[in-house]
Amino acid sequence: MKSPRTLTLSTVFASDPFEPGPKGSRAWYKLRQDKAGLFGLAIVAIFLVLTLGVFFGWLGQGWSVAGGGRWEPVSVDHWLGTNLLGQDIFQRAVFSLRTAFEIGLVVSLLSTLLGALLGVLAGWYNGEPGRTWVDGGILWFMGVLDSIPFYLFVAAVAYALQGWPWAMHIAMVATFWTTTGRLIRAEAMRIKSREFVLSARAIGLPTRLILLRHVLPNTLHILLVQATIAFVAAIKTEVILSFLGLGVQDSVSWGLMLAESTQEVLAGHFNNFLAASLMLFMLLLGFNLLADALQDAFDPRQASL
Amino acid sequence: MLRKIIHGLALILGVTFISFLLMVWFGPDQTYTLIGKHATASQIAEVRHQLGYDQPFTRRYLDYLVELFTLDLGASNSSGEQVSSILKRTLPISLALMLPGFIIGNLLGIVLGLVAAFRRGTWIDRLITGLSVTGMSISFLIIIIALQVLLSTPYGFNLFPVRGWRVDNLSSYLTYVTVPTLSLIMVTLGYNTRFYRAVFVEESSREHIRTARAFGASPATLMGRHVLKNSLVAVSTRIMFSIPLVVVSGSLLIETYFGIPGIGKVSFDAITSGDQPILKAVVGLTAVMFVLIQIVADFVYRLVDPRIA
Amino acid sequence: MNRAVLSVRNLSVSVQTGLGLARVVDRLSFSLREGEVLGLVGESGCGKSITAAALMGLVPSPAGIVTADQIMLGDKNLVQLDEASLRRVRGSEISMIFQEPLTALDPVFSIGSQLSTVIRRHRGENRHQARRSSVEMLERVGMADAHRIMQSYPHQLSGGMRQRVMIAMAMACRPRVLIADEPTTALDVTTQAQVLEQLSELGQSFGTAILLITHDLGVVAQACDRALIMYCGRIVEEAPVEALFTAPTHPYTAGLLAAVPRISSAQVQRVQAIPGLVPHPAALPDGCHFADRCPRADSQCRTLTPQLQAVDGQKSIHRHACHHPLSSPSHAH
Repeated sequence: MKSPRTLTLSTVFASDPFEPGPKGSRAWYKLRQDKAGLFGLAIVAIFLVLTLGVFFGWLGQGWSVAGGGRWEPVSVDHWLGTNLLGQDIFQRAVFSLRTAFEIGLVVSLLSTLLGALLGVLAGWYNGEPGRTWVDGGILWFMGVLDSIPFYLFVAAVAYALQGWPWAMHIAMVATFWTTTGRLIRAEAMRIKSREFVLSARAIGLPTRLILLRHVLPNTLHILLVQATIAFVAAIKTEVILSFLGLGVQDSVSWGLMLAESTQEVLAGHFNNFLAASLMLFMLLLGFNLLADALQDAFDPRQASL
Repeated sequence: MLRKIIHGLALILGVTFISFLLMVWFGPDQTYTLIGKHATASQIAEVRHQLGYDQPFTRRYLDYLVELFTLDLGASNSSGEQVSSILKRTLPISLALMLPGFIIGNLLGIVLGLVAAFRRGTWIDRLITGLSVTGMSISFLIIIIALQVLLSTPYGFNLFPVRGWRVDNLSSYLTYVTVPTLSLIMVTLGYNTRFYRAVFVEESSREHIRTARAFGASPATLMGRHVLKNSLVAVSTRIMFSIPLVVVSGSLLIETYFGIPGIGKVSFDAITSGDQPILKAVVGLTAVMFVLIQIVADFVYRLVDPRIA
Repeated sequence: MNRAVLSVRNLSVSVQTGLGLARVVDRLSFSLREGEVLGLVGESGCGKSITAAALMGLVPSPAGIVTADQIMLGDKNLVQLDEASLRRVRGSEISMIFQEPLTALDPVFSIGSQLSTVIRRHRGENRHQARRSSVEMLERVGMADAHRIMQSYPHQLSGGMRQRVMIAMAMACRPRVLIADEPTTALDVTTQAQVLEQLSELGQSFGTAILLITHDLGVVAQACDRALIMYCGRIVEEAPVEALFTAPTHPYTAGLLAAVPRISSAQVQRVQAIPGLVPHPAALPDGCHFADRCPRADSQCRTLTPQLQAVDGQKSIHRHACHHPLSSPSHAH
């Protein structure tokens, strides 16, 4: 959240010569002051521990066992009751974490990587005599991907690659990278005119090295924020695709639980719906708060505080 | 202007090419759905010929482009109805369904964004931004299901029909449109408010705002006149470019869930049944819509900002 | 001596910084007399712009804390006015123009619209009258085709024309006081001179006193009657312009003058920079803030804050805040 203090200050002093440390440690300092951000970080940490528990086989392993009657209420055996098939709702809700984290991590990593690479290339070759077609081509590609209705595209890819478990991931990566790409392109254009890059070019450093050593590292703060945002978007999309029957097939996901619950809630059984909703909501809230805090912490316009 | 048109054509070519590749070339094979599993080789060949499967890639792609530009979109594979008549029937339903929520969601977002930006750093700003983040963290699905339970079932207020679309007059329209509209507002409000707040905060930190204050302008004048008019390029961009996405992508989930026969439901059914003529038409026309909006946007920018000539 | 139209006593402004609360304006007292042009001179960051904002009541409230015993504008004490009454004063009785007229004017409203809005707001004229007054004002600041300018937008005008529009806007209500914050810094040299001339001429004929904020001693020499030299939030010297240039008494003022390049009678003097750096406003040294950079400083300067006092006896209007001033011949007025 923006504090009004910084706005005035930056108009009074161009820079604060007493501000210690490089960008990273200043951001960490600001992050620690941000209560909402720390709350988000705590939620993320708790979910991370739970997810590791699922990965190592300590939690939620009985998600597919129909060990109870249909729609059993909350009990010692079934902490959140059971669903239509008698499966334990708590175990299913917790196991879904694994599904969510897996798709979130894969999609956010790959889409951020793709966005970074193509964004840097486009920004670098912008206005470069003889090579502007690289920029033009990448921009055109982004425009094309952005013009296809999102769910339709994701659903179409998921359907075209039916049966292949990574179809959903591919579809999301293909559409998510454009936002990161545009931001990185703009940043790369800024960095390109900075002195350290000009001097690197002047001494004849190969372009590949300049991009990898000087340009990309200076966009890391944007990439970190974008990766967090893509993580959230991937989980939200996975839930909706699974709900529509185009996502997770042989596992469990909050989207599948919500799909089950649409009939149950009409009959007055809310456990499935509440369990999936709450888990999903808390996870997204944690990551959204964290993304906000990261964005504020790295905001160069507030660097003077 | 010529540049715009060339860019637009390049965009349409790209979109149609990708959608053709995904939905038609790699898309599901319709042959057996149409004639069943026990068909003779000649029957199969005939159906494949009717569907155009025996044509080479470039030929089928060019045919698609011609269909798109002549608006002769062919007939649906599953129902045999002309695609153009399907669109004519479903598009008004989708517009009637989505527009109220779209308009109210944006207006509310602008108002809340203005309030938050003007009271930047106070408790009311923190409340609005906090609620926005909360809203962004609630999945579309959760909102739809929760509102349905709350408003349309005996477990809640039981005021509206659970699903469907039997609209023939204003009161039945209001009955069916209320729950989807509320869902759409709730799911977009967080994003809208955040976006507009960021724009207004940026604009209200400009130097000319300080000038206006130094000449005695009131807060209402500052926000309602100077900040708002300077933000119009950003605001109109967001609104215009989200129209196609809301109408097509947004309606897909709402219409599928509430069983409303609009363009989103038709698209979803076409995806799951591999009804290519419909998919090709929807994706292609969306791309055309984007290009048209880009051209309209240029005029709008010139209207709201004298610096853009 | 004319009477004061603006009289400020003990104005202080504090802002929150990364190092804690910083007092960027420290117990400033001065008065601005009818018809005079008073320079407020200092390096960037010395607190002159925030002083202007404080006088206008424009320091954002949770971020900066403004205190003052009084800011008397005529018979109104601005310190005691509520926000609504302040709004009626701003732009009508006390006006302001800014350094960069391109960003200071709203880019999406025409000149005519911005000008007549201010006139309608403060003079209660209707749309038609306000437009006529606007054209008159534009002609008054030397714009030949005022009707065309009315239809133009800021980006369509040159820098000098934009600043004239700002001046027309600021003077439209014949204010008692005009604060001009670096009004010529963004302009080229020939335009600078014209704009300064325009300002003093209008001030004369409208009876408006001008507080001219600048870092440029050339501007002071050209346009001001008196000047206040500011360093780290405090006034260190106050003098009529003539005395300031011929016989500065504060070592900081002398240092500023020595740092101005000048070419006199075929002999180019060497420019001397003041050694050291301006201290951070949240970590100011005790005593005289200039002591660490001052060749004349001793232990007294580092412990005891010098007070502003007359250079030669009670009658003088040449004052300084220094324990060890440069010796001055008895030339003072």
